[in-house]
Formats: sequence, C-alpha cells, structure tokens
Amino acid sequence: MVRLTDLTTAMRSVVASVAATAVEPKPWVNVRRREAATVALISSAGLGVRGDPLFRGGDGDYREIPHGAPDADVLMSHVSVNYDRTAYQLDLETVLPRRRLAELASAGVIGAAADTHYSFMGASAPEQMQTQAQTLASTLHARGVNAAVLLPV
Amino acid sequence: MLEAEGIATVMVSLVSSQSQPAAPPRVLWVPFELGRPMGAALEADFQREVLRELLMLFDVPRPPQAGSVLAEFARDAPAQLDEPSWCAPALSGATSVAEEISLLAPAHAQFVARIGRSTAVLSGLDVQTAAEFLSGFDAGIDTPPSVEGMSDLLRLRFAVDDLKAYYLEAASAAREQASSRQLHSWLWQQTRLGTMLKTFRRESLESDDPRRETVGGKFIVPRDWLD
Repeated sequence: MVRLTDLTTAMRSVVASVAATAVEPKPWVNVRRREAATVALISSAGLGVRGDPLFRGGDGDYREIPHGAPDADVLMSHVSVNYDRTAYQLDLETVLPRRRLAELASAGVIGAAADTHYSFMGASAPEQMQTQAQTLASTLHARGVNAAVLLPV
Repeated sequence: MLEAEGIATVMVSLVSSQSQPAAPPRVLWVPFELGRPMGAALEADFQREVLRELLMLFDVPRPPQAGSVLAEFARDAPAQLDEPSWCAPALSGATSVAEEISLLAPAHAQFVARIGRSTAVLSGLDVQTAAEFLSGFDAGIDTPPSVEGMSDLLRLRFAVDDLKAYYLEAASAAREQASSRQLHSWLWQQTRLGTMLKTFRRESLESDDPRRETVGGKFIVPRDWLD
C-alpha cells in the first residue's frame, strides 16, 4: 500500500477520513485450478470506452471495456483529483493491465484473459454499487469468467 | 460483493486502512503511489511481476477462522524518485494560458507521437477552446454549444481535466521520465494554468451556487497543491 509516511499531511488526513465498510459474512470462492481460470480485470478508475457515457460522480454503475479496445479509446473520467494520473497518461496498463494479463495467460499462469473487462468509478458509496455488482457477477458467470482482479486507483 | 456471488477475487490494496476493515478474501498490499496499482508506467516486466504475484494468491488456501489472505509486494516501483535530468517545459515568456498552450504544442505532439494517444479528450473541446470556456465561465462568455444531458458545470470539469492532461502530457514528452511530484510541482506552481485553476477554486468556495462550490471546490485542485 502507499506508505502513509510518503503522503503529504493533507492527503494523509483525506485517506484516514475515508470509511471502509466491513463485510459480514466473509465470502470465499476456491479456485481449483488457477492455470485454467478465465480472469477479468475490474477497475475503480472510472474507465470507459470512447462514446460511452462519462462518469459524473456518485455513479454506482460500471462500464465494459473490450479486451481489444485500443488504448486511445479507453478514457478515465474519475471525479477525484487526489491521485496521480501521469502514469495512466503514459501507459493505460498502469491502471488496466490487459496486455500483462494476456501475457500471463500465454505463459500458463492463468487459463485465459476475459474478452471484456470492467470499470466502476470508485468515489461512490458501496451501497450504490451493490446492485450493479450483482448484475456484473451474473454477467461474468454468463461469459465464463470465474475469477477477477480488482484494481483501485 | 463479487465473491459472495461466486466469483473468486484478488485485490490490489493501495491503502491498507481502507482494505483491512473490509477484509476481502485475497489482498496484495503494494507500496505504490495512489493512481498506480501496477506500480509504474512503461515498465512491462515490473507490471507483470505485480500481476503474477496477485494471481498466485488464488493458490493460497483460506486461512483459519475465515480470515483473509494478506500478502505484501516487497519492491518499490521504478520512477518514484525525482529524475535529475528532466527539464520542465520552457514557458517563461507566456503571458496567458493561451500562450502556454501554444508553447506546449510541439511537446504535446511529441508525446502523442511517442505514446500513441492523448487523454485530453473528455470534454470534446480542443484545449484552446477549453481554456476560453474556463476563463469566461463566470461571465457566461465563450461557452461552447451545449451537449445534451451534460450541464455546463460538468462539461467545465471535463474541460479542466483535459487542460491538466494536456499540460502534464506535454511535460512528459521526453524519455527522461519525471516523477509525479516534479510534474505536479511544475503544473501547480510554475504555470498560469495552475494559478488560474487555484483562483477558480477560491472563487468557487465563495459561490452561492452549491454545485459550483462543490465542483470548483473539490474537483479541480488536488489537496496536495492548495495554497
């Protein structure tokens, strides 16, 4: 995690003020064979494909990002200004490592990278995202995805 | 939530104080800057290493008492420290944001040629029009034609994002990769755009319009760079 000592005083107070929600009971799904798993990336960076509605703030929904969509067509419209975007500007893989995932699939670490990845906009209340997360889970099942990598910004 | 619906998950955690209470099933804590879950740009080997360690957490059995699998990525990301050979774009002759934008144009073109894209595309406005929109916002002048379903204030927010992206991309054109601190220090402390945006924020906080107060007060200037 970013070391709190590396943050400025201003950002340390921002981070400390964000309440995290405890989840009870704590669910668990076994992955019987990682080498056979189909894995999707799920970001909270407010990413979407050009032409899709931009995130406005307080959004609970998500966007779909095809595995093969050109980097130039994947846009970030996250509402927060309190994280660095310069790495994303240089390299979309920093926040959505689609090519890295495909490389690890080719190397046999996983079975396959999913055909579609997903993004929420993280500066939203978890309650707003809950219904959408359930919908997303159904979609993942329907598309043969059995594991996901969750990526914050 | 996904795990409860039958999808196994692993998660990068950039802030342990936020991930610990939620106790997700499998977490990899990483010592990276906010905004960089894979650590660093244009470092494929490093990114692959981070992602591999994440995926390997699927092999770890569930701890007793329904605990979480917690792991920590041990290496710092490359390019987190200041780059001594990086030079800020030369803007000393500029007397306006419009002039700065013109002076940055060659570097921005160099960035796009090298990286293959620009992220300064949210508002649908070219950056000169975006700057005019910002400077004329309160007077209601130079307002671009409206976009259905998007308020002027929301469009302004995206226009500001585009302006910031344009400047930072221009400053990132050279192969010597500046740290985020170097880039933001230049933007917020050495450019007329940085000054204009901080002024806009101050004026927003005095606005009678609660939406203007919120958007201008919270979503324009990072906390680290407030005066």
